[in-house]
Amino acid sequence: MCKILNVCLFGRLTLVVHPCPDLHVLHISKPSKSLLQIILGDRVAQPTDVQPPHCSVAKATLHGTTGKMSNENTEEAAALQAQIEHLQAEVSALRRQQKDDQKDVTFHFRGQMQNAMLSLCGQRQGDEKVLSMLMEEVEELEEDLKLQTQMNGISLTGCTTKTLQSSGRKLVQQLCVSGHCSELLFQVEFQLSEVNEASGCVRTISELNVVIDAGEMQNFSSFLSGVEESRDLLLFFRTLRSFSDRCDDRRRTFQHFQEKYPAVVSLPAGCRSEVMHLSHPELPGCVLLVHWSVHVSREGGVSPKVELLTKIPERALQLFPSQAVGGAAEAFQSLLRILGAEAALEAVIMAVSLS
Amino acid sequence: MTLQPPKSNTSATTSGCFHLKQRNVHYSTQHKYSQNMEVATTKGVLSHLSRLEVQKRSLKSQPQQPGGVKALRATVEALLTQRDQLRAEIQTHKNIKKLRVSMDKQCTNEEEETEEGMDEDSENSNLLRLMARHTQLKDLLHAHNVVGGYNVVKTRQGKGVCVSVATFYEGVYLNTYNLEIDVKPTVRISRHNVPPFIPLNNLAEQSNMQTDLRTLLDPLSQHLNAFAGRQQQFKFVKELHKSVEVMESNVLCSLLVLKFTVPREKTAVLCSLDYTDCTRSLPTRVHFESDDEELPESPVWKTHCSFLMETPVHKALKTMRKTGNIV
Repeated sequence: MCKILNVCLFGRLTLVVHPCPDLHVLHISKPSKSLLQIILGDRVAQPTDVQPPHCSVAKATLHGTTGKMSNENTEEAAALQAQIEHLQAEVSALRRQQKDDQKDVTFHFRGQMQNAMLSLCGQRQGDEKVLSMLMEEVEELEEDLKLQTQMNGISLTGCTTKTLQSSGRKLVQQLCVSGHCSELLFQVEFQLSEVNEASGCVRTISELNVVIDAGEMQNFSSFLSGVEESRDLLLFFRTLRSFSDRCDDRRRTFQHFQEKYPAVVSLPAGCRSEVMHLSHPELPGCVLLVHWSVHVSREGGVSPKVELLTKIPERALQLFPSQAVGGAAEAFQSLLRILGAEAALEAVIMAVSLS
Repeated sequence: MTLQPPKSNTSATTSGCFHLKQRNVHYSTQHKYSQNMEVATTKGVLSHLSRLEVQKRSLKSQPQQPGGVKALRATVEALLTQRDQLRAEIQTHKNIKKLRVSMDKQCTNEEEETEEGMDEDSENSNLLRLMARHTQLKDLLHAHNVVGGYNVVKTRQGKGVCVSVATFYEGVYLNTYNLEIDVKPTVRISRHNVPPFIPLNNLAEQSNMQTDLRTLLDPLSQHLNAFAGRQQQFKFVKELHKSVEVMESNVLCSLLVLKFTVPREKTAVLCSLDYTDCTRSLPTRVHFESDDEELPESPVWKTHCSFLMETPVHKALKTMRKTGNIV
């Protein structure tokens, strides 16, 4: 028996047998099981005798001189290990890049957007469902935007954000918002900071820059410089809306009178202009100008100002020495105070049409 | 005596050292039994085993059995999948960002829609477009909130709305006031947290809220923001100008009485600021009172008067102290 033991210690078969009458096989490497059975001849190894392929066996076969298979294993294992380390480094780098990408709140996807992202990137789980669910969410957002636009009285067409700083407690973004309020175009750029403090989230604005439609600049210039200084973004929009509302009042009134008294009323510069011309068709040289301006104070107070100006040739004025024509401007102001803009204008128009 | 093979109650990946040790123990006890038997052969077995043990210890820990290589291969597969997934996600991110930039350009310049290399009407490109539009809508809605929008939310299946009025002063977002409004059968304010000294009911009556809610909300916003502005100014005066004594103020912040001290003569000047226009955060009247009756009429103090009419009070005080006019 012992002789057999010695032989079997070489080669792929590692067999440790105790030289005791009751023979028990303690180690077998699988491929050699049949060999063992042959060797032991009179005693067939029982399954209970056989140890499962063990690390200990593996360690034994590690021994450099024992067999070709262990060499291949070593080389492949080493290569695989190297590949694993390389891949782990790659994955870490990619993860860092992704985390960087997601610092921009706009592109940090959650919910349906996250599902859509996973669906696009190979984890195909019900593509059609993902598309339709995202579509539903987008439609809800479109409806919400319409509602906000209607209620807020401003139409935002673009908003780009750039995240300047993003840590656990603080978020700083650079926003550029553009749109229009009625026909007035605007673009505002500012920095928005959100800081989580014990008392709650504190939001602040800095570096406010406002640009509006060039045509209205003269009305707004002092107001705009004040607003940029005080960083009062919300005041800017309140005032813009107010201004737009007053301009709309003017436009509606002018259009109304032009339709009602087409012979007398003309709007040479269009219904959005500040000026309405009143003249009798048979007296083309005598014109009454209604100048309706909307003034914006530095504080953001919006006030309409309606004035009546006369454009009457000297010769005509000489024919009518009374103050009625010459003093029309002041008279109109009193009328304005008593009747309000629309009624006062109507009265003037009636007078001009000599009806 | 029957030797039982040591029962393996540990997993297959347990270090073989342990088992070798066990076997060594066995063998040494067995050795005692077999001392009289073929000692030389036993020694050979033992020495081989100990050699293996030493070798095992000197090797670096690597699972090197056939099972181990399989595990390594599986790990590599998993890592490859992970890496490819991450690469795909990052690329998709890039694509969406690019699409978004071109969408933004279209909206502001009203350009013709250009198919930037996405000519195939594939489902993927549709999904990407949809995702870009999603980010755009979210940004626009955020912008509506940031610029002081009313954040209107429909409630009770369209029978009501919830609005919030934001207040803001000198770059800082302050309190938000909320209103719950019934829309059906008539437009009516049902609940709100607007302070009582703001004339909400008056504003509601004067407005055209049945047809246009903004005719109520805009004036309300004006009142609330003017109030917030005054409130902040009073707060800053108390915090930043301790040398100026606040004699009187009220909840609506429509009245502020301060006591100045003129540096050289140490005379006291009482300054009353009236804010009778509640839609403004600047005073409508500034009045000085002093034991020195000529002081309020002096040119210096006349300029102070107009200065305080045009400048937020905490800023005006800062300048007045800096120029040495008051302590």
